Amino acid sequence: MTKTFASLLLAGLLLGPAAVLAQDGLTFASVSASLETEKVDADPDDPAIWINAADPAQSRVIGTDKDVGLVVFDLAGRIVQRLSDGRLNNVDIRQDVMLGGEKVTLVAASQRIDDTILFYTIDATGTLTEATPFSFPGAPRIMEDDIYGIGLYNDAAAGRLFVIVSYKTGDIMQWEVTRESGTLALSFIRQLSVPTQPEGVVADDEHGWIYVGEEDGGLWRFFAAPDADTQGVLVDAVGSQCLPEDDLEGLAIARNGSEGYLVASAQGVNRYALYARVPDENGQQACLGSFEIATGKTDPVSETDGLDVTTTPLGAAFPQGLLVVQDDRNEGFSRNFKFVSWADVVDAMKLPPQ
Amino acid sequence: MAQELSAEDQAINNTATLGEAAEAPTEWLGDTPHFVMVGEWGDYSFNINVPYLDAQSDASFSGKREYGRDDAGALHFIDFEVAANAVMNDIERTIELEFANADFSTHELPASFTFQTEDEFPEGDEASLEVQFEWEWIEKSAIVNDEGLADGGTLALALDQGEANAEGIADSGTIGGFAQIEKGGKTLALSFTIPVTEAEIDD
Repeated sequence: MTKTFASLLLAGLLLGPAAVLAQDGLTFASVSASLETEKVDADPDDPAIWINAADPAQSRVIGTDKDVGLVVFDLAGRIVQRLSDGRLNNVDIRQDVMLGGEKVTLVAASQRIDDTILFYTIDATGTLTEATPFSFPGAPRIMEDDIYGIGLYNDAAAGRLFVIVSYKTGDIMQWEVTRESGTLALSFIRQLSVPTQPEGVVADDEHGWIYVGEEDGGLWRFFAAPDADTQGVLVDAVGSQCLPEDDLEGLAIARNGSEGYLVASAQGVNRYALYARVPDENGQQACLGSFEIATGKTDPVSETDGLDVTTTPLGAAFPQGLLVVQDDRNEGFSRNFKFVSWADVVDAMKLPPQ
Repeated sequence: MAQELSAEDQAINNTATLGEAAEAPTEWLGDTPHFVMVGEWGDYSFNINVPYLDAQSDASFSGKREYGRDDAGALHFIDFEVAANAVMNDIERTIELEFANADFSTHELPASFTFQTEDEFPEGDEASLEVQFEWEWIEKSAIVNDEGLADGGTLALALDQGEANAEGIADSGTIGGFAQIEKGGKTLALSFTIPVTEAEIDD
């Protein structure tokens, strides 16, 4: 029996655990989470992974809890730190960035109370502390709607760090982050835009791209360099086989050497789409398929939203890395994050070995 | 291998029941806190009959008011949400009904509204209604998340009690009424009187 993925969805067909369906060269698979975090107080959205290089099993996951602030988890899913700093929507991290002659790890979060960008530093134990200053305006002018997504872009070769924030208006602001004597400063660089409301923002540091998820529109790619063309390229549109329904939500880069995947959260179908990380000679980034997180050791993941992934091994539990995703429904009408072994995704999606 | 829900499981998944089976209400059932919703929406059928809300119950029924500001800064009661979180035939299910008007507070109660789909916050005696329900049947790894606008029907808003807080918005009290909800030729009947537990200003 041959069916398209869309017709499978419409018919209410489900992929059982570890099931794989190949269709038109695309792979549609099912994995399950290895574990889930403690529930959060309100409404989780977006995670970022801090890698403890000295002891990878002691790495941390920083998640936004949208009406509360940030929550930090260990790799067993236990809450180890809470930062009640307001309506933090999205979060991103860059580790060991050279700024002002010092190596620093920065976490940036978008704050919807006053449309600001908040910065934290992380020490060697994975504990977050407010940076100095803590808060910066998200835009160089008054905006008509909320700040929403956030991403960091580290151009290591140039020794420059940037923070990019998306607004519900469709505007995207790129700022340069500098640091002198422990004090951060932001300089406005330029503005990008997408036609309608975006959220997810992620930069591919090595290849110099910024990706933006236009929730009802599709996946956009921009040059990340501050003096580059501001015209975006539509990588995939909502309505495609990989994004059959809106919203397009969180984005993350899964590295495999210089190649790898762009992971995109397809909320309307509770799935995650994988795109080639490197565009082909025509600038196209093929979608390889998508996967769901089904019932296994935990409940399934629904209304997929923010996510982060690392392919760095994080101990025995996550030997090829970790995918962290928000889960909108959990037992007891609660919400949390799910941890998925990236090795399970590689296996289910039949990806080349890491 | 693709796995399909059996017809029996599909019926369980697509049917939400709570309490003793009830006939569809035809009018507001009064100011005693209750939630009764009977009928069909798309592929899903509902027979939720909670004639007396019990604070000790695991089930949760609550209301939320939302306000908007006009250019002069004045607040308008533009939206209220009726939400149910309850285990219905062994599955944790969430149902949310969001009613909108340019300003519900300008209408003397009881007030009748006709559902339309053109405007998000319609003026006068028209209203919009967004229906959303979602659940996971964990054992079957089945996820339901459906939402849409009522394309016809009426709301009879009978009760709206609550005192404004320091911000000028009412985040307590009760709200109640009766709705005949139409979508694609199917009908849901809803009678509710529920506590309001939250309010916010939509910036």
